[in-house]
Amino acid sequence: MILSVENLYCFRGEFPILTQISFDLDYGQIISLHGPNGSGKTTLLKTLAQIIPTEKGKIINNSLETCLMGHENCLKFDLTVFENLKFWAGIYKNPSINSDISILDLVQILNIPVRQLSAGQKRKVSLARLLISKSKLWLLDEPDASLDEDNKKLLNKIMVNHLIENGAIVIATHTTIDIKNVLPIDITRFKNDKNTSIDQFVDGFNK
Amino acid sequence: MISILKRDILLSVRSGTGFSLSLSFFLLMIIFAPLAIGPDDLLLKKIAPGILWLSALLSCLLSIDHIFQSDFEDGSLEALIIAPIPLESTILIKTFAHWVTSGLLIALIAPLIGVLYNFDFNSLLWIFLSLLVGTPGLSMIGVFGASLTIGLKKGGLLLPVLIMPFYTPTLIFGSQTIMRAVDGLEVTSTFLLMAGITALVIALMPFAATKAVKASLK
Repeated sequence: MILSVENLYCFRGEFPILTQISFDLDYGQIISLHGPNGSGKTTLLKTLAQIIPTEKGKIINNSLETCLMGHENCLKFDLTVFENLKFWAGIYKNPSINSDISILDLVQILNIPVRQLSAGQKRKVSLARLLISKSKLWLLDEPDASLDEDNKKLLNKIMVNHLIENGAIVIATHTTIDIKNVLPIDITRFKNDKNTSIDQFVDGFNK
Repeated sequence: MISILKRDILLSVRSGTGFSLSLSFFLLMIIFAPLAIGPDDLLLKKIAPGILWLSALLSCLLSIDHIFQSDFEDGSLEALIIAPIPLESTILIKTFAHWVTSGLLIALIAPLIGVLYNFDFNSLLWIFLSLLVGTPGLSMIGVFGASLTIGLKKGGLLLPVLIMPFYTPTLIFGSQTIMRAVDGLEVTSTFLLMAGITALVIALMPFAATKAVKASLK
């Protein structure tokens, strides 16, 4: 098991927006999180990455390294694509990034400052960071945003390869994923209905 | 960790928010102060240590709020938190990068500018040493302050207000070191006190800043 979640509560500020989340993720498996905007998909991913601390419940992460791809691309506009990727290669101690660059077909734009790239190109460079990280567990927050149809297929291929290499993925998305054996989780069923300050105040008063 | 140092220095040079901004502000302050005060040699010599240190302090402050802001806005800060490098080390190396592009340059250039104030060689040496040892402390305190204001849209004014009290001991002992050197007095006590403050903040503040960064992303 690479990731095990037991009775997890996800907090936005002081309030639990998702409650009693439990699931297990094995090596080679992918979970897709579904739910409308604002339902807490990003918060859950950030909690799984332990950027937001776990205040209630348990997360057992057996992956040595976890890589989160959020809404932002983690790129510096004043640096070139190569300088950005070289930086992340240094952080993840990956001496060779050439194969990752060629998988995503970034050779043509390597020496262009990120500032001059289109939104889709920036997203592709951000995908290269995932490959460079060599992490077993990928937490992806709408990774296909801004990508065209060809690049969506490329993303799909990259995810399939990652699963074949015994990696695991938790992905938040609004689109259907063309991968076999995806475990879909509708996170609206974990939604905390009493999550407003007024509810908490009334609860406290009743106690 | 070297990659963080390289990237931050490169960004500081390219974006013009660190290196050139700090240095040009410092030079302008030092060059324009004698013009404003007038050609009174004795008065200039008396107030120059204070002007030098105050200029160095404000120059450091000028570029400090950028240290986490761009990483916060482009998502790099979250990625760095879960990267296989302890966040304390990341913060320490970012502080070092800030010092290289502000404090170190100021320490190197200040003795050259000190000639404008007619200082002797011994005074110029202590100007260099006091700034070389004191400014890392200024960068570290500044980074701690910046970690408290991550994500605040209008944190620009809050940051100096928060960290100025922490700067006071370094400012006092730093300028005292130069003043005593100019007067030909013994300087090691004030210099060592300032060095002690720098060592203390470098030892403790990365941990405090780490807590603040994590809390701000909660």
